[in-house]
Amino acid sequence: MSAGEPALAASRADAGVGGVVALRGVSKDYGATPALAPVSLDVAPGAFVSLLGPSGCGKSTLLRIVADLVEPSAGSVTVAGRPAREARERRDYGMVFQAATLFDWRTIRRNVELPLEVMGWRAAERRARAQRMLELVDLADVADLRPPQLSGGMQQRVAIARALAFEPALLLMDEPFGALDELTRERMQDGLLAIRARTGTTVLFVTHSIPEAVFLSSSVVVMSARPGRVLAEIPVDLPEPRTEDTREDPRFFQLVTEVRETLRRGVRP
Amino acid sequence: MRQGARRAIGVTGVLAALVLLWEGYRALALATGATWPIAVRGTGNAQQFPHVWDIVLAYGRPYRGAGETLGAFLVGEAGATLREVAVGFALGVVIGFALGTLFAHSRLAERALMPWVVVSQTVPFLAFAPILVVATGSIDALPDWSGVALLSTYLVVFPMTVGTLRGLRSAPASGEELLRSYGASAWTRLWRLRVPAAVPQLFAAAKVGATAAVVGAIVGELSAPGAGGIGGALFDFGRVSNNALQLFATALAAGLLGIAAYTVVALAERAVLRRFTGVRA
Amino acid sequence: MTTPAATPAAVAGAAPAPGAGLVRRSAGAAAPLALGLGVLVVWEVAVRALGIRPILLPPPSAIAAAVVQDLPRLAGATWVTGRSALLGFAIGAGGGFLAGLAASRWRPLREAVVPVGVVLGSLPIVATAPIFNLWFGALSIWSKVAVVALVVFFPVLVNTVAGLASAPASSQELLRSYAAPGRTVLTALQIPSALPFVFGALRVAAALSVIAAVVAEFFGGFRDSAGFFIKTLMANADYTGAWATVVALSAFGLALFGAVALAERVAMPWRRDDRGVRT
Repeated sequence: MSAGEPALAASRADAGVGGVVALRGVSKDYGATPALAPVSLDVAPGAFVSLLGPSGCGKSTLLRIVADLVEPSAGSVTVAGRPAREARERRDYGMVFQAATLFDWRTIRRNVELPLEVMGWRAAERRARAQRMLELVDLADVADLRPPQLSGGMQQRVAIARALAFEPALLLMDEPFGALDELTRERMQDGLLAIRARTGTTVLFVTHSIPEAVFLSSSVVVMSARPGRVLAEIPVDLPEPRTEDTREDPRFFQLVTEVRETLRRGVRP
Repeated sequence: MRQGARRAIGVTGVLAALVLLWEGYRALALATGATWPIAVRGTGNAQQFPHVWDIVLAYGRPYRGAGETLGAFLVGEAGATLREVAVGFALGVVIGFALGTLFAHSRLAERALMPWVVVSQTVPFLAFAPILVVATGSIDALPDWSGVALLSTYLVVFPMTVGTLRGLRSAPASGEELLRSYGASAWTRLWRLRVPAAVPQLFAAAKVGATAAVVGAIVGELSAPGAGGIGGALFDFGRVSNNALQLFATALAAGLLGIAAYTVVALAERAVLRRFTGVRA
Repeated sequence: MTTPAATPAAVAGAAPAPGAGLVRRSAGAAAPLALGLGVLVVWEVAVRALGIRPILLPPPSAIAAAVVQDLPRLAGATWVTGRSALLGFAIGAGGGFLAGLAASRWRPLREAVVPVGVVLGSLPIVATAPIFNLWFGALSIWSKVAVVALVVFFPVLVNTVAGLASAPASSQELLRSYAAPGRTVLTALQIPSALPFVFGALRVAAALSVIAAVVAEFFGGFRDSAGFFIKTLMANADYTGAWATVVALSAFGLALFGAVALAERVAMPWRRDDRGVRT
């Protein structure tokens, strides 16, 4: 179908070995200040892993190290079986930021097409894919509007469509719902899970909301205050698919409590 | 501080590059006898392209053969220009602040007047310079240089109006509500909240205004026969002497005057910030 | 940033606005138009009633009559001055934009160019006019064009550099995450982000170019130029004629400003949308 496709299939095959993301002793210092203590972490194919911790604990930095947007001071990072730099250059992951980061000078459709343009797809293929992605996030009817005309939640859905447009095996999300109100936020969480049920994408998700992490994830990585280190990785055994009822499930509350107590231990060592 | 040092090095580098560029251009023009992109009359005549250091040294040389040096002469003329700048600037700041405050408090005034203030910037007002200078000259009660000062005033009013308006608007709404909850009058709210909040923008506007005032004064002077000042000196040297060295030295002096006006306002800003906030700018 | 272009909203509001929102805009124009008319009436009446001499202030009716009567000559003078302004504007703005693009490639240069450009741009650049007269001759269009180009160059340079660096960090990270080459980052992100800055500078530059051209003519220029007219008419005590010349020149300045505002709307359609119909 396009130049991008075979490479993506290959990356999926590779991903089976050693996890989609494998971090070994990754740390980051800014000058003499340690921001991130050595962290080791594996993300299995198809997993939804949340990085949870207080503000400034380095969880966003960790995500950016995976994305090769920040250089680690030490340690090794592999994404889809390759060094992070190579993975970025092969476009093995899609990324969603806290701000939707849409370009006002492009229509919604052309925003979703942006990564495909950078990757050299042909116009007709770009258009078809963008259309499918907008249908996926239920925004096909606003394709020809511009970003400022959309609400914050809609903008973030466009950003998700854009990140998934080239069907990466891995989605990196940096507090994507942090700027939204509580009701919109829960709706976005439901939508994200529905999309993932259809695409099977592996997700690494940064948040500071405990219920959000528990509701979405297959496992929650709890981090300590700066310099961040991993306090615990808590598997989430809530039944699938997660629905509105999941938020009322006693097990949900138990897990929220468990995560919260782990977090508190990290604040008072 | 480290960033400041790096910036200082960068700025020095750019200035050094400009000097080098000029000297290189000069050497090329003299060597090839041609200038790019436009032919200069009498190219090959080294006098047309003075060395940077010759321009600086010219300040110490006698001016028009008399005992007085060019530097001393220009300092005297700069003093005359500075008086016009100071009066024009002060008046412009007062008018601009008053207009900005009016606009901040009256939607009607803003809607009716602001478009004219903006249009006034698209009008080549400096073209009025000869008219204004002659008109004020015809009023005996005003000193000769008042038309020149008024030209400066005009150029100061726009940045001051906009700066005041934005500065007063920048005060947080919550602060306004807090003072209202104390039953504070509009006057108190203005002086206790809005004006302090506007200080950074006021000084930013005043710095733009100070350099604009120098431009206004120089243009005013060259439109007023015999008005003297740096503008008058430029006009006379350009017309009479055809002496490149004196022209370059005077143009450079005009630039230094602009920097001086800017620096005075910047120093005032630093003093005010230190006095009222303890912040070292 | 540093230029008085600081009021994009206000300036844009003053520009003619075809299409949607015309009704609302014309209602918004009522107050300033009423004020303008009022000022003209008061001016006319005051000049006549108080017997103000034309040397101080000619009545608007006399200025209008002079404009109509002398139209061909005024139009000619305005064009002589205006073409210097246009040529200098094009050269200075083009040069400033290209220099800004070049300076942005290298970080130390970019950081140094902005403060130096701001300082040089705020200096009385018109003082270089007699130097250019000496070089190119007072009766060469290039001595005027050079002054205009130099005056226009710095605001465009500074705002281009600032605009190219204005894209938010997350947008740059986004393109980095696609491993986008530098050229793509420039065309897809940096230049569109810079356009509002560049056009802000161009609006300021449009006004500056006419001013610079006429001031350069005060130092000596063509006998049929607006700058020469204004000085000689004043010397010959034809004050109304001098006013009429300034009015003609102002019309040219407004037209140039309007052309830039129009180009801005065409170049940045997204800016039109977001203050538009939907919310």
